[in-house]
Amino acid sequence: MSAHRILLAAVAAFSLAVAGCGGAGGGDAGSGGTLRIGTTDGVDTLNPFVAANTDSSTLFMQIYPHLVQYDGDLHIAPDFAKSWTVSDGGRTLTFHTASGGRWSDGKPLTAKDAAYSLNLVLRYASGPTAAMAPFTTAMKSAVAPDATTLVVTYERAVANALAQLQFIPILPQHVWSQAEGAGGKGLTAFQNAAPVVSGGAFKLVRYKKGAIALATRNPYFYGPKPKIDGFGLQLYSDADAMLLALKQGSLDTVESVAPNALKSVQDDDGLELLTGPSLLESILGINVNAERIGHRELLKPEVREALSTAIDRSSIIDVAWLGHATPGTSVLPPGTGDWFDDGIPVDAYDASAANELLDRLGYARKGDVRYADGHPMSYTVYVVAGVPGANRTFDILRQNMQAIGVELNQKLLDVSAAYAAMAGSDGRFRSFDFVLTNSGSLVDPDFALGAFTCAQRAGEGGNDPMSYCDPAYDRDYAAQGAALEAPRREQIVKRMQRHLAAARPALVLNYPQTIEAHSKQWDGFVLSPFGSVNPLSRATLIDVHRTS
Amino acid sequence: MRGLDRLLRLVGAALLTIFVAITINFVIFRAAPGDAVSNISAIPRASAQEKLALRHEFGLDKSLGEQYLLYLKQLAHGNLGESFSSRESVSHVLVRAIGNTIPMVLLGTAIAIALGVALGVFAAYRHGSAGDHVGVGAALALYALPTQWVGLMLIVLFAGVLPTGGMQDEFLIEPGFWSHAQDVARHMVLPALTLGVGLLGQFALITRSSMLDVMGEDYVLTARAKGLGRRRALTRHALRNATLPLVNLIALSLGTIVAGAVLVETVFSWPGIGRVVYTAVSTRDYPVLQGAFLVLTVSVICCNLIADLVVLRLDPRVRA
Repeated sequence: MSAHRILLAAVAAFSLAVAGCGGAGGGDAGSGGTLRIGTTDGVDTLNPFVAANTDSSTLFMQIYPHLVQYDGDLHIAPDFAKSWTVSDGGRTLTFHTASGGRWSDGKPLTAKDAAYSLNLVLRYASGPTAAMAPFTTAMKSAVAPDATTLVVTYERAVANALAQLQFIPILPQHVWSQAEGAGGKGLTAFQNAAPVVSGGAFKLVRYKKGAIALATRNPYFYGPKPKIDGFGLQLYSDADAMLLALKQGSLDTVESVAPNALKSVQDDDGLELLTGPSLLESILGINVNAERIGHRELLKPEVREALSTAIDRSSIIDVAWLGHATPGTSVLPPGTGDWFDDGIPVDAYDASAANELLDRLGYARKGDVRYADGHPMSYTVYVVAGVPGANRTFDILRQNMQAIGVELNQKLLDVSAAYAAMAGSDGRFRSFDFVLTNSGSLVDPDFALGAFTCAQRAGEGGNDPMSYCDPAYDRDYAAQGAALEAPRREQIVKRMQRHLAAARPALVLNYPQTIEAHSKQWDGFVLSPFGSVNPLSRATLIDVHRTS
Repeated sequence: MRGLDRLLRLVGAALLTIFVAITINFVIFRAAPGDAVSNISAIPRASAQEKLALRHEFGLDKSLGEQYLLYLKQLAHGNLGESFSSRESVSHVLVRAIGNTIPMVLLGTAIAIALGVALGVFAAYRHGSAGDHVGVGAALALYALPTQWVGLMLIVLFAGVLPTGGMQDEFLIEPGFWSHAQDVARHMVLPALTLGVGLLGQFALITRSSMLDVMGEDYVLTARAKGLGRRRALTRHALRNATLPLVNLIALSLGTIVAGAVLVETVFSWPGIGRVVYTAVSTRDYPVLQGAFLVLTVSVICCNLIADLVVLRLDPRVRA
């Protein structure tokens, strides 16, 4: 037999041999089983001060205690803190924490760990713990007078203090104090390698970056025991391959399903689909920087109203989202629950009305394009690559705008490049026109509404590239931030949403739905705007169980 | 002496190329718009002060010249730096990823060589026949097919028979050695086959072309005139001498397909160097990008050097 025949035979034999091997998949079939979750996001690091991915926050929610969490109705509910009182005009929060808890290494879990964690964030807020510092607004200190009491003091009343604390994991002091190092420099370098000393319902036992984060039940957990033995977040870089793995039984649930794959899930008798409102919105952001260079007509609210009226949101939903989105109105998405103002009307698609508005402003057509103040209304739209539905949305926007004599040109950039392009050479965000992207909110409205305050103008060091600024809006923002009574705060929050809906610094196009699927062999999923397995609550992973 | 001189020149050229590549790697990623800190998704609502602190921590507040000198100094100490996004040592990140990539790439290359050479020899043997035309057509078609499309088609075809994502069943708890090896092998089949299918076209075409050249040489005709059978003359004399261009191609392929595995790794969620590069690009993780491209560049240059040395050894005409 010649050499190449031997080689061919060897490769063929290898392929056949491995193809015929018994399947290792199928997961743990033990008493409670392991819930195998497919994700395209993934746990990027086990260090909460470095992590950026949503899956990392989800994991921290499950393996670390949190003072509070969200319940199924998106209201703040107890977690490690079993109850709390507010005193001193909202400047002091006193938490009564669970007793008898232990970390997964057997060491006691007390309120002192909570105090340590909060003070750690405060101590290095301008450096290593900067990623978590936005969740400690106006916080002065945290003290644990005994093992089950935590007193957190603020410089002023903070209406969403509990919602902020929901994002801060309580870390084991005996582990992290060793990692801290001089000036906290060790905090970001600490890899927190598996097995992680955990205090939540689960403990992390295995982590392979880019592949898996696997957690098993923590026997020392202070709260209700999960029904499953554990769960794993397996990373897929291709959503189609992930869905196929679910259909084949290699996964039990997937965190997201693209609209174009919905039918294949619906046609599969073994799968169940869950849909609900999300915290995402698709927006066409407009540069309304008062110092903008060129195209200053975009500073006029009437122009922005005309542009919004010219957009056929229903077509975008049908084409880009295959019907699985709702028309956009407020900058707060419906996933924010009670905070969402469902009374704001959609800007109805009416090209004639849009044309009339622009005619009234004196922006006459010369050929196919209108001219505003002597220059053509021809704009560049930075389209953020990777945003679902963005290209199809842009195609419809371009057609819609053509109908009113406005020309749009697409420039596709990844998120970093788009931000740099918007910043411009001087970093002042003065020369770009539009950005088409997805924007996310948290359940509490403060974060999304705060993005439109004067302090958040990107050119002034903030994070709002649209650079919207209105002192009246800022006053409302400050007022909602100090309104401790929920009805009063809700009233202000809704007023702010109407303010932005009228000013239109960002045209909200639609709200995509949260769509996920799971095997019918599992039940007990509690859907939230972040999906069932999320960084808001432990509900799903406590309740989820096999159906047979 | 002439051989040693040539060897020194080859090594010197390789070292110079590596230095140039290091410099280009440093400049090219910084020339791309955006940086690790400007990506606001990293720190939602971070204050200007916090962004400055991060910029300082990453050393991005220094001038480009200073950053370049620091980078060279680090490299001189064998230190590839620390990932901006995970703060992990870049060396650890790359060693882990390359360790996952290499077995899959080697298997894919072996598949491509075996099938490609067989197809090339067959086409040359049947030169001018319908079999030759079909073989060449198939080789050209496979060469032209987009790798990710081939991967997706294989996933559709083999779904349920072979694993379609990941490197192993990640939910297996403490599997034994053989059970683990079998599991990894099963996961490796489809990505390696995808890579192999994508590569085999060029091996087939080069083999065929080289074989046809050699088969017209006098020594093959002499062998045939002395009564050696056609098949025997083909395998004993023609194929052996036709392998020189293949050696070059294999060596070069080994260097470049590590980088070319990006698409395959993405389709099959294979946690290798391609996935690391893909993620690092989107987060502007300069140290990881610099390290990964340095490794890829060095692997291409080294494989090139090895190919030159092998050819130097195999072909007396080159030494002359």
